[in-house]
Amino acid sequence: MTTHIKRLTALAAATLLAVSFAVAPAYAAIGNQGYAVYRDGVLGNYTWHAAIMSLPHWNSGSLPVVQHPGSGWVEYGTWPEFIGGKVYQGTYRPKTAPTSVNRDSFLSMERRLVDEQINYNLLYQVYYNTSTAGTWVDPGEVTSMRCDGVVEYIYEWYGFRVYGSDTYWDVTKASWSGRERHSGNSVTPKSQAQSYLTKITSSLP
Amino acid sequence: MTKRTGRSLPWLFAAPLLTWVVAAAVNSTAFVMGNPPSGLGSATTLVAICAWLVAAWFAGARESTSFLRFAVVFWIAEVAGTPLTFWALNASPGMSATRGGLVLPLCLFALMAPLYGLYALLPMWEPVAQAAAVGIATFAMTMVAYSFGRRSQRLPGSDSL
Repeated sequence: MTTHIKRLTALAAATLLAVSFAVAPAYAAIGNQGYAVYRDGVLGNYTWHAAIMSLPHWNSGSLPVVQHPGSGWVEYGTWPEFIGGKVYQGTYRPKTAPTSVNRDSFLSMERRLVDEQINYNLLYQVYYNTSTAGTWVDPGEVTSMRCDGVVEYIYEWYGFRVYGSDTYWDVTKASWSGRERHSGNSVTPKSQAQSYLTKITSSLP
Repeated sequence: MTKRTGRSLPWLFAAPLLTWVVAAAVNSTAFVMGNPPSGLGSATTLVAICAWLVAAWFAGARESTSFLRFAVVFWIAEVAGTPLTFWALNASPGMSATRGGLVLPLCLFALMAPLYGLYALLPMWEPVAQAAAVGIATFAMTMVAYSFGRRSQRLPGSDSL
């Protein structure tokens, strides 16, 4: 009888545990978190400025975007800092639509890039030492990046292809050719958004 | 009074170019990112323009034709080069950093960034047109300053320079 009660108790405990795992909420992004946002006015209006939403909406809090402002490091920025008095160009996502769980992963990578205090680089989307980087370019190995590099790096780290040939699309995969092909004006924030991402809306996020 | 016509001092060329480079450097981040210019950026642009006017006045007083040629070539390159470079940049295929992908953007930077401290304060318009307009205005003022300097040299009893 005692054994029977023990078995029933163990079964109930196991069931409870299983149910608790099943109903526990997975962390998930909401609103526009993890989506890329763009505005015009860069290099005499030749191209745009890119950032990634860290908050659900532009007015959800004081620091709604993660961006590289062109000096200093990758940072959490205010909406006016991001817009800079220019015209908003829309909210974009990778061509393969990410789930809210994917977008939550984007947020964690945003935090890592901010923590690494990465400098600005006008020439390269993502710059790193090709001789010391491993197979993959970890956030700690990135020495400098451009504003569109923040978007490219975060999306491609999680396998969401943005710009590049079939061989060298992943900017997080270390190689001289891969780094080189994501440089100059072969890809710009404007072409990144217009040609390699999908527009969600032109309205403020 | 010693007559000193047709000769230019090196600083007449160096001062405008040096202030041009300083204005480009100070305005660089704001121009590249399209942010509003800082107070220092606007001040350096103003100094760069004034340097042209002062140099033109002194060059006019010395009747320096070499400075006049230099100014005409510089400002034609500036005013015509800005929209031309912008057009070429938009028309050209994308290139990586080591294959010339930064040549045209750098040309655009050299032409537009020094004047950014002023034209970015104008009402919102096409930046290329704004930069060209400020360039035309500065060129016109440079020519006026040159002619004033030249006239001051010719005034009877003038002891300037």
